[in-house]
Amino acid sequence: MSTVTRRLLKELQDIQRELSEEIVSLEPIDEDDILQWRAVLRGPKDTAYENGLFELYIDIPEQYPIHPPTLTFVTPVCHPNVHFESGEICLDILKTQWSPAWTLKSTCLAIHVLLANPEPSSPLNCDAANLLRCGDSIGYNSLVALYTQMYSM
Amino acid sequence: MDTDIEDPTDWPAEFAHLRETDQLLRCPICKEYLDTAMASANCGHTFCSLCVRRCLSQKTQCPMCHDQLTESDLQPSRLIDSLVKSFKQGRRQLLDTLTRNPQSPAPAQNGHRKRPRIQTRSSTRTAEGMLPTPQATSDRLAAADLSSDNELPAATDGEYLGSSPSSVQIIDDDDATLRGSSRRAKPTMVSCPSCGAKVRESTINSHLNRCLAGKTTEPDSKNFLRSRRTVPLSTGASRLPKPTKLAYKLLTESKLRKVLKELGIRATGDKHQMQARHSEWSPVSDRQLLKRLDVWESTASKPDATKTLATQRDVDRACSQICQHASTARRPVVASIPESPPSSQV
Repeated sequence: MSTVTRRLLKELQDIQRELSEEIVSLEPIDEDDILQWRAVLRGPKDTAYENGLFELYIDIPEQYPIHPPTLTFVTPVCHPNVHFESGEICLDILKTQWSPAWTLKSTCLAIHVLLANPEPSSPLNCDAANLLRCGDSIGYNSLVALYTQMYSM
Repeated sequence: MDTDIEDPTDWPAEFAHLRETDQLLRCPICKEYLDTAMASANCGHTFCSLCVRRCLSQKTQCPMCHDQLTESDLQPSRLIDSLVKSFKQGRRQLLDTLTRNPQSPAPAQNGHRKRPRIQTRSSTRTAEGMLPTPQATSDRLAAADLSSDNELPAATDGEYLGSSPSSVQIIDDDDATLRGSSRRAKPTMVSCPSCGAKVRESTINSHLNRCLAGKTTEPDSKNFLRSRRTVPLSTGASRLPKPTKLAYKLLTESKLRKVLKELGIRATGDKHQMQARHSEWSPVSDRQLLKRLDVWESTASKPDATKTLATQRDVDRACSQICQHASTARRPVVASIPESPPSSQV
């Protein structure tokens, strides 16, 4: 069994036995392909994303965990660090700050935290980022709530 | 599919400390038990030797804390190796005892005592860990039916000494049968440090002699023999080639090709491919793993993983045998890696 398969089976076993409440589901899309996963995150409480369910597509390279997995949002998300159309996520741990000690579960939790803590200085969605940079939190929150209601509920 | 995947969550939730212990003895990179543990001299984080070297070939940072880390900062951690070894040996047994029959042969008093003790271990850890009373020791033995090969604090009983893991290697054949058979009905199987095959504890010495002389007769040693063909038969585990670092930039393509040929590695492709092949090889550094290198190359260079699944699975099956050999055969080689910064060789 290759290193990547073995490690992913371990992660899957760990996930099947205990899953935190932030993650609704995290599993391979197809039983025959361990390198493509699907995750569903619950919108963080006390944010405009609350009650929304967000689907992610996870593509895992053969060199995992030396190289990071690629995560993209399938559900359209209004967030300064998420590209609205492609679902691309701008997060340092998915690029330069990746460490092989991260797991798929911890990576999903990091994205869950990113939803609640946007970083407007490196935006992929300029409109959302500009609202935050201007300090218009009411505008930002209602925009996010609108999209959450439209696409993820 | 999950049967051979061991995980900290195998431990029942109420034994949180065992779960944590299990977790702590694993490599943060591959999530397996630490194999030839290497600790960083700067930050103290510990990984499998092979895993951390793979990471360091990409980025000279500690995978846990992102501190600067190079191969020369790694130090072997023998205590952890021994801990992992004994924990692995006792794991199955302890797990079976804890999960399948909570009411073990010894009656209720054990069931009573065992649980509270584990739950309060954090508070009484020092007292219990430092001074194991004879009462506690025998108690634990009875409760878990341990045959001494895991967490006995100090083997006070003479009869247990005979089967302690460290003495497996030095016991004489006759001795082992005399002492061993009286205690156990089943013969203890140990894995050969050279070829990885499971061998009766009592015959390990004679097996090892044969093995090191290159005369293995085990049916599953086909791969082993074939990959050994390039090595002179008399080569023992201690004389496997030492891994050397190459300054790839200073090498011409033809020189690199020559180096690969000398090492017995496939020398096709351009310089970049050969360089990738050599850098994957160097931490592994064992002729038995050459085939695994081929597998790595065939999977790593495929751009589209989804279309290669059938072959991937075939390959997995084919290489699982080799990996079994590798896990043990690699040990002496990795241990022989110099601890001083490896000098560049051109």
